[in-house]
Amino acid sequence: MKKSIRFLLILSILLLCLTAGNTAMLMHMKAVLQMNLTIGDWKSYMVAAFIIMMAFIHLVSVIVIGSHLRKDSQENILRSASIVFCVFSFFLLLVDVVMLQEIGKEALIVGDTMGEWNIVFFNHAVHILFSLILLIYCLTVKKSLLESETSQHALKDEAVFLTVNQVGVITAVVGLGFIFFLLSFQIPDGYAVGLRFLAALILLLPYFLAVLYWICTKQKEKPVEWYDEKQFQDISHAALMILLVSVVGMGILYGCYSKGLITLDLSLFFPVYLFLVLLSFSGTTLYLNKKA
Amino acid sequence: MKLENNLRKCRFEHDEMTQQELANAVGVTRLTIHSVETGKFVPSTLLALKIARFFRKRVEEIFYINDEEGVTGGKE
Repeated sequence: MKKSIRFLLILSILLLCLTAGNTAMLMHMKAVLQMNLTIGDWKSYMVAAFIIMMAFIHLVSVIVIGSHLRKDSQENILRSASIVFCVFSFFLLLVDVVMLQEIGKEALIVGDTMGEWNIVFFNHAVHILFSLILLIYCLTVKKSLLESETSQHALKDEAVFLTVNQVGVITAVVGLGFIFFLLSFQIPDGYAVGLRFLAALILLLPYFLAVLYWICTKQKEKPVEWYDEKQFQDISHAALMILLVSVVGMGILYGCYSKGLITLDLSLFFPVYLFLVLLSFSGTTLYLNKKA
Repeated sequence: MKLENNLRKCRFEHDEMTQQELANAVGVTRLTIHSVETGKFVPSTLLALKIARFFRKRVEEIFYINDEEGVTGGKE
């Protein structure tokens, strides 16, 4: 595992350099386009090559982090955050490609590309955030590795269970933050509905992937063995909590809506409800499991 | 009325075994053993029996009820 940590550390530094280099290159290209000058082909190829390398690093990173779950029975919040931001950042790389294509088309007809540039730079901020989280994870995990060398390997895992719930909490917090961040922009109604739905889907993906991984690890076990008895009790209590919170919350919302105190935007309501439920469920399960 | 136990004592008598070792032996997580030991989680009958069988003791020798009127079970 030490080798894979070292490898991941190199990848995170490489990703940081690539993202910083790409950001500098894109800032230069933006300035050139604003002066109505042409950009050399080699610069465009370089940006494309950087994006491909960044995407490759994202894919390798998530596989390496996933392999740590099997080897390291200790839970790690930075590992969960790395998984969430890796998936989110990877999808934003795809958005980068689309936005840069749009900028290229707009540049030919001398159109306004400010909105596209803002999205590209926001995405690069997320890429940098991911590489920093990955870097800090690699640096801190060395200490826990030294401790785990003396501890025994766990036959009944708790790291995957805790990681899935941590990923749920981080996904929900990032999702809610992003949905409300989108509200601060003046986006036309037609686009806003689709954008919120797409953002919710992309942001939920890390959680789905984490759950999928958990299911894969349980393939050989019978459903009754999927949970340890305390884990089963914790998720049952968390589910009861969600039922109560949902009934009370929906009741209050319905009361306010029927009295005309609030107006409900359904395109906003659904993703917010989804993330709130995920946050309450994963948060409660984590709290109950760690309380002991 | 509260279920208490001598689990910690049993572990130390058993070559100072760790919570993780006991957890592996009875097929639960370390956190579950920790929760049982601290009295924050009441184990199922199956788990109590597995633990007792592992230590080669009767269940009452490990788990006992502690209420205001007195102790019922095998407090040592």
